[in-house]
Amino acid sequence: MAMTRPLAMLGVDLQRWRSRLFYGALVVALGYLIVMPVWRLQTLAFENDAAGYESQFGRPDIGETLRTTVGLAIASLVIAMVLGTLLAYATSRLPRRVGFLRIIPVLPIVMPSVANVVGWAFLLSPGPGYLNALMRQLPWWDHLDSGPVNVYSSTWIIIITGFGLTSFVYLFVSAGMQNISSEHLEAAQSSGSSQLGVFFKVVLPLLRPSLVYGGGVALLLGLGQFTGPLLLGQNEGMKVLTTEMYRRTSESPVNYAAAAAAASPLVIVGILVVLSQRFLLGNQARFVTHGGKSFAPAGGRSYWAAFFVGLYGFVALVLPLLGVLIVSLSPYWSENLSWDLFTLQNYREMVRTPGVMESVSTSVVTSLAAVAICVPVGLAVATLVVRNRHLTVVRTIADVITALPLGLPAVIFGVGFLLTYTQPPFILYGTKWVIILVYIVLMIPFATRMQMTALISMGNTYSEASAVSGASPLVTSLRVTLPMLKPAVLSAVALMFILLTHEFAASLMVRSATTQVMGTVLYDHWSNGSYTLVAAMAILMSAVTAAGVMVAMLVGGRNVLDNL
Amino acid sequence: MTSKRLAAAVAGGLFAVAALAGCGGSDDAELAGSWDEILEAANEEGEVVIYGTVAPDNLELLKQAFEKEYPEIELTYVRGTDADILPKVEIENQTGQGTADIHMTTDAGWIDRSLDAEYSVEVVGPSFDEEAYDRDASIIEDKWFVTSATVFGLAWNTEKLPEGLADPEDALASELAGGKVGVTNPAGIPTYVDMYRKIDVDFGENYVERLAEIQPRVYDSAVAIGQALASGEIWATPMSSSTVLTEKANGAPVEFVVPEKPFGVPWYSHVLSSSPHPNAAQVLADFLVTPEGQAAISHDFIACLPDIEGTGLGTDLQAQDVPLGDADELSSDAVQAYQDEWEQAFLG
Repeated sequence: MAMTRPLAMLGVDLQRWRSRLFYGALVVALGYLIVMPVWRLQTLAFENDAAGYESQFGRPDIGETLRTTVGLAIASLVIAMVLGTLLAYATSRLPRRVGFLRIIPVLPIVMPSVANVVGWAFLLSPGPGYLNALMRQLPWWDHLDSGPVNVYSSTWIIIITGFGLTSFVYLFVSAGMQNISSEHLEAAQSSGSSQLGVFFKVVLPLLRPSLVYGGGVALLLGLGQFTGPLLLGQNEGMKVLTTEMYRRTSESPVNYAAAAAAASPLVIVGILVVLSQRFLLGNQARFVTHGGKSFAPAGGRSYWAAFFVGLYGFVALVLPLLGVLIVSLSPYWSENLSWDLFTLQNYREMVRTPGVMESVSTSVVTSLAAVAICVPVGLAVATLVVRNRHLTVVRTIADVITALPLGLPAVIFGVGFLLTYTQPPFILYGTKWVIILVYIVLMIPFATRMQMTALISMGNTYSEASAVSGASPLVTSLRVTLPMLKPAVLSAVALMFILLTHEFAASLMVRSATTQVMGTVLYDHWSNGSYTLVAAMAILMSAVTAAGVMVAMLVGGRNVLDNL
Repeated sequence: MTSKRLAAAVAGGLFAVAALAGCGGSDDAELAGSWDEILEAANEEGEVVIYGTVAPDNLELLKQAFEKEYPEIELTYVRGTDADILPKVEIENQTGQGTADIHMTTDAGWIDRSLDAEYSVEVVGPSFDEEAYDRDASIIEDKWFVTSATVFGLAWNTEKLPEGLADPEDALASELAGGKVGVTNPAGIPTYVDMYRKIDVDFGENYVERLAEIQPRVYDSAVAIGQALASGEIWATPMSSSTVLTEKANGAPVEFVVPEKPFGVPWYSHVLSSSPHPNAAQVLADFLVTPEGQAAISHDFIACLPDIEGTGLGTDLQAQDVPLGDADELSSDAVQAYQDEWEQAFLG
């Protein structure tokens, strides 16, 4: 008896050390993957007496670039906050019969951003833009030979960016909206308040936390905007920090130091937001929200709400897709449309064009590979954070590291990966691995957080029962935890796949000339001015994403997008 | 047992994904001895990749012509501006992870700098010694060989501007102000810097400054300008590539004329030392300077051989007659300084 106690304690110690070693190695690997590229990039900016900063911040137009970056972020944030809040309110008032419209405000996240942006260009280019051509038929604009709208102007780039950010604000605000009990609204209404009064005096104040959080995320996304300014802004010389980073990596020789310097303000803001979010969340966890039996989320039957949501869907989704579709069926992009001219030639040419079909397979393969690696890594991190509270330091580091990619624009990771993986010890340039690795980094926050939420709701009892029955942590993970997490894992897989198949910003940095994904090939053809081919490719991208959504709904259930 | 099977399945899945993703990288290939041995080795390599700034249509014609001549070798082309391509060539050379076998550019400064950086190997094909090619006037240090040339001209959309452009001054007309004229952005493309400097003298006094005053719309490349003209997004340009003639042949409402003092630039090519297919690279380099290769790559451009149908732009010029820019004037610093000045004028 005297001998068995120390032996048993030794066994427990060994197990603890093994788990410490495993999680320690995991955090080191994640640190190398996520932090190292950003760290190397930023230290480079300081080398040679901060030559990178001198080069980037000594440019005559740097003031204008900074002003445009901040202006674009704030103005598009305002649009997104207003639209996102109104949409969240409208979807909470949807009649039951058209409840399916709830999905509409989320769909712009699913639609490939490059397809959306080129769609707007086809509609609102001052010359041959279809909507412009229609507007020029109106009596007060019939004297114009171009315009009246210029999609390449900063105003319209802001509006299009604002539309894109609306979905993100909507996600946060609608989640907050669902927590508002109908009692509050009914009380306000029975006290004589109008619909508008209820919205401004009751709903908005109750939504303040969601608005602050969603606004913070949308501001970060706005500061890191890349696709709109790159594709539309070049015609009139619009520059933001992310496009400056891209330009510095398109110089000969590549000026990594200046690109790093351009990234610095975004890195600082991103890290500050991630850390403050963690701090705020830590506080929030102490509060119980609602949980009483009497809670009833607000419902409604406002057909105006249905009309508003439908209108948003038409403008943000249908119109740009329509623009892309028409150009893809035309022999060349022109304001003069005719049924006789419609042709499928562009699709035939697209299939024949070198690199296009390869890019589809590269997108799918790299996305699947990244997802396949993200799920177990995300599960390990989620387990570390949720179930290993005794490893205080390691779990805090893991939590912050895996949140970092949410705070930094993808383009920063792209440049960091280009720098890191074109040098020893791991030269991966030109292989699919560099794309897979950057995709893993971009998706780690989703993989970790979605499984973390499921783990928290699962509780400890099952895994404790498994451990008491003698199963090792690995066996418990494989036979107990994973099967119970299946719905959350499937949702995460589906979402990550959809988001990755149309990833553009990071891919543009790390792709090589012959290892390309769909978005980067589309951009190359856009730069070459092959508009009809671009349109056909945008439809192809949207189709691949739509197929992803359908598979996601089949395996993850109809409400898979709600998990966003 | 079940857990072992599950673990094996997870490991197997990850391995399969790794295999699917492919780590890339090729075995170190070497150049064979005689030309016949090179041809044989090229067939075994079975693949060749060219990066070029020439128009996509020309690269497609080249692919068809080359694969017809060498059916066992598949040609892959990558078209981009110098700003897209030069960093990639440099990274491939630096990492030793070559993708491209042949690279084609008009950047005189980069060509000059590359000679010291061992980016290229000597060309060995028999066609370089053909009398019609004139080796002495066509090859720099046995590495860079003149392949084609282009001149930039005046072009317009015939539906939007039926009266057309007679000379560069017409592109500055007030009715074209505010985004109806297209120009190229010289960012990262020294050839365009050279062009702006030349037309500032040859097209009339302070031409560039006056061009900036009408607030033209800015594009990344001359190819993109051709497409914008065809769509009616812009109405005219004083710096169109002759590729707009291909758009015209496809039915687009565009017209192109060469002005009295045009700006021209030759394309030079080289076989890269980081080439993963060194034999196929030599075969393609050789093919580029044959009549069949020239009919493809120089279609609607200026050929480096005489009497090639579909080339010449109505002149008797050969690519060797079009001088390469002055490398000293196109150093990185000089190009950056001009770029800043240009941005101030056109985008400021």
